[in-house]
Amino acid sequence: MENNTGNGQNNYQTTPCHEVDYDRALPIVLGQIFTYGDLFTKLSFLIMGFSNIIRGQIIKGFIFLLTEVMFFYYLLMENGGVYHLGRLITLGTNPASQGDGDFGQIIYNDDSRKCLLFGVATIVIIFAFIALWAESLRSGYEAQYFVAKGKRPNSFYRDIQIYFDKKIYRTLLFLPITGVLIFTVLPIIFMICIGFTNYNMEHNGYTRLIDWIGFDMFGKVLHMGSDPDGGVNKFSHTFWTVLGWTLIWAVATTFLCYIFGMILAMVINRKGIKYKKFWRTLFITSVAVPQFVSLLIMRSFLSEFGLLNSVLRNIGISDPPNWLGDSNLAKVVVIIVNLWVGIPYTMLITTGILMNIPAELYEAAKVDGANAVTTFFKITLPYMIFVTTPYLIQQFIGNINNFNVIYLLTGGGPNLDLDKYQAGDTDLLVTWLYKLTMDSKDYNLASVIGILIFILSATFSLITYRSSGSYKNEEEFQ
Amino acid sequence: MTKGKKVLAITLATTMAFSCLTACGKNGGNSGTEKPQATSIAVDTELNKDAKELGINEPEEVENDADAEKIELKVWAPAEEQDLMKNLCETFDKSHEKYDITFTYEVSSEADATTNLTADPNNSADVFMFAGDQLANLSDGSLLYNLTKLTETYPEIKDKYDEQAYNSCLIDGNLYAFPFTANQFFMYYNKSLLSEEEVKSLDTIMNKDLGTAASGEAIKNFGFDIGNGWYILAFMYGNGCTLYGDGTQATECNWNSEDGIAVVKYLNGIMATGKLYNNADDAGMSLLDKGELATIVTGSWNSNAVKDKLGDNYAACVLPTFTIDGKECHMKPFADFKMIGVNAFTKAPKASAELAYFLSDNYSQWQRLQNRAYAPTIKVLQDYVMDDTKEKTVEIDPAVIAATEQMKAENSSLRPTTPQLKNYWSFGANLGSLIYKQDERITDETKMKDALDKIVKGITTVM
Repeated sequence: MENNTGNGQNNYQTTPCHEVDYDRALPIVLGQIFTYGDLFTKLSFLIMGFSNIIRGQIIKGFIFLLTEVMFFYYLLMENGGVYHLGRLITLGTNPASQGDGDFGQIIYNDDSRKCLLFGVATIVIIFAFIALWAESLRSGYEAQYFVAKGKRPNSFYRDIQIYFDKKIYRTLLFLPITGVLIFTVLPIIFMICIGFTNYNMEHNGYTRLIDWIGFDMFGKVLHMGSDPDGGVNKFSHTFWTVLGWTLIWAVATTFLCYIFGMILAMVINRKGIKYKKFWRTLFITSVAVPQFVSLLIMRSFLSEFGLLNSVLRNIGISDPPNWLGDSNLAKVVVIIVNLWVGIPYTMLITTGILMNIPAELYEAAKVDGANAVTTFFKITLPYMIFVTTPYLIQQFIGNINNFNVIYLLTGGGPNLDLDKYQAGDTDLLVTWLYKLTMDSKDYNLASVIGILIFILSATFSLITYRSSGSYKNEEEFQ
Repeated sequence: MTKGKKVLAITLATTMAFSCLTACGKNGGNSGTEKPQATSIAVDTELNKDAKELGINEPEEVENDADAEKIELKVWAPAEEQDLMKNLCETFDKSHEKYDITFTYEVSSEADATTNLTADPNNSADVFMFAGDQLANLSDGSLLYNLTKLTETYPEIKDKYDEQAYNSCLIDGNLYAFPFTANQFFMYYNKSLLSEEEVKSLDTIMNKDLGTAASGEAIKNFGFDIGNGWYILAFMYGNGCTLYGDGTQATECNWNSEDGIAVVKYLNGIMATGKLYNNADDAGMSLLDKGELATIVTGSWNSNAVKDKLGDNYAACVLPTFTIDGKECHMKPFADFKMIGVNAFTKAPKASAELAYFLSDNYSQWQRLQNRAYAPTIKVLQDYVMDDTKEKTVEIDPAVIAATEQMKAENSSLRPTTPQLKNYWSFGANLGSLIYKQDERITDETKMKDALDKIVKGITTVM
């Protein structure tokens, strides 16, 4: 490109007028900006906003520069970023100490929990700054690009107009995203970090400081086989047993609720049944009662001397079983009660889908001489499964974490296994986590269990969803 | 974007943003405190003649000195106690010329004390009420101020309180809190089904054939939450088996000794009669008014409910004795008390300690006895309660008498102070459940020792 000195345009070195592909990953974009940028743009890597200022976007450039100055001030100030990062690694060095004086009380010194929190917050701030830095480079290169093309870069006023017009989505999403970042993402990172420390009732952070222990707790929980000094490793035994029951529970409840819901919907949907709406309403009323209430009532209904057993005794069965007190029986009963709670939902969903199956398919099948069973297996079932696969996956994951039913019905179940740590026989991973947090205050173990639940759920979701028909052929159903 | 869409988008985004801020409401410095409910019970603080006879007088009001210390104290009490607490604190301030105290009152139930304090120890209450089972945890977390110095300033403290109550507040010989009422269980019974003499012995209770109630159901003799570690240890301790040695040895437990086995055999015998009713979750309460349950083992937190159910048949007594191999044993539950403690991180230790002492002293305990039917822990008041020869102006609930007697040393045991205690509860529940179900692991004599060994191993394993 030539230097155009005579037309009021700026006199820069020849710059290649390349488009940067902003849809690629950030390092690639930055690399391209570095390659195609001229000297001023390259300087913007160190002094944010430099390119903007040179090309005439003075206010915008200064805002970027100011942000950079504020960030480095935050990092280097007395109790600032670097200080917090250091404390994140050590998690405090000074536990509560005895004060002196006549009525010596205790002095509050380092609190490991605050060290962890501020350290994680600093890391989040650093990442936010990196995002802003990348954005400033992009806008700096954009300014260079405009100038190279012969246009004037946007003035500050024009930029604000764009942010309220074309790019309004950015403006509006700014507050919610900040909120999510502070109140959701930050606490989650904090809780995940706890799983790698020894934070529990004993090491509470200010009397005895917390330390990083890395993957120790994971090792203890996932350990298979017995302890070196004989006997059973309580953590891992509890974990694998509870995990096994959680999976059986999730599969059984999801599968049974689905099948029975579907059958119920089909039965109501048949041609001969009158008052379809009445029957549907009747079966939906069981969800009108809040789950909390109905489960607690069920609990007293099924207890050893509850209503059910009194009735059984009255009709002559002298020794009715203890429905919720026997390990295996409790497991079966809990699944059955969940059917009562869950079938109305599946019935609703399958009713809607059933109505959508084109009637021609059924007529064609009848003409071909198929009976009810064949029709069901060849037409209804495949169609249903195709449409509801995401729903099924969601139900499965939801049932893995179905806290209400188990906790309210059995409280974790009969405590008859002597080798378990803080867990009963019908405890799911999530109810065990609750007991660990509230009762024995083993926060780090609870966090590890939480992380493992997440890995379990995420893995299942991804595998099943990707390999399901709905994902593979979204449009067609054959 | 069209204008309409823009407006809609702005509204939705603002809603989303504000929903993220809902978390803000709970972060205001003091976690765990709720708005004071309107259920604070009004108090009548006039002292009657019985109090004056015992030597309890309202503290004199004095003018503050010119150089009185200006102090700010934060006081935590449950919602029902707020009125009484305010009254007592103001009395304390008025009667001390050296202090000019501004109080902040916050609601925090006794059970939540540990959670609320550990959240932010530096800015929490200076004086707070808590359930005594948290004493060891709080002191382990350095949240309790060592009050031994106060006992040197006021040497009468040691003898004023009931021995068991005072000992329950000691850790390694140092005083960490003041006990102000009992918090353990005893036994309520139906007067029309069992007499006062009969309820003294568990064997008599179980052997009596009570027939059927008006509803046609067979009457159960003994309502006991056997699947709960807190209750079943009363039997074990009664026969000399302890947890953690004297309460401080985390790896000692003799529940699998001969004495422990004897208790298990005894309990198997009780289950065999079929007259024990499992009072899990207070399920037995609903049987009381129908006359289907003769006795129920629970505490003063349930006395109003039990009074309602039993009506004229309401009576309460100490836990019955039981006999093993001819030896008579008392059931010995943990001597649990509600206590008042001082936060170790307090900025005004002297004033807080004196306030805590005042809140559990004669005057305050009398007020609680009069207004809240709380069993006293001061010897003078205990004697007053137990003395049934004199006419009393204050009506004493039988539950108060039972609680006062139950907290004495021959009827209760000291709670262990080792943090290892937190491991005990699920295993105590295990033992109770096995016995209740008459699982063969605990009924078969050859397997009994193994089961107990496993339980003891669980109790003593330091995680």
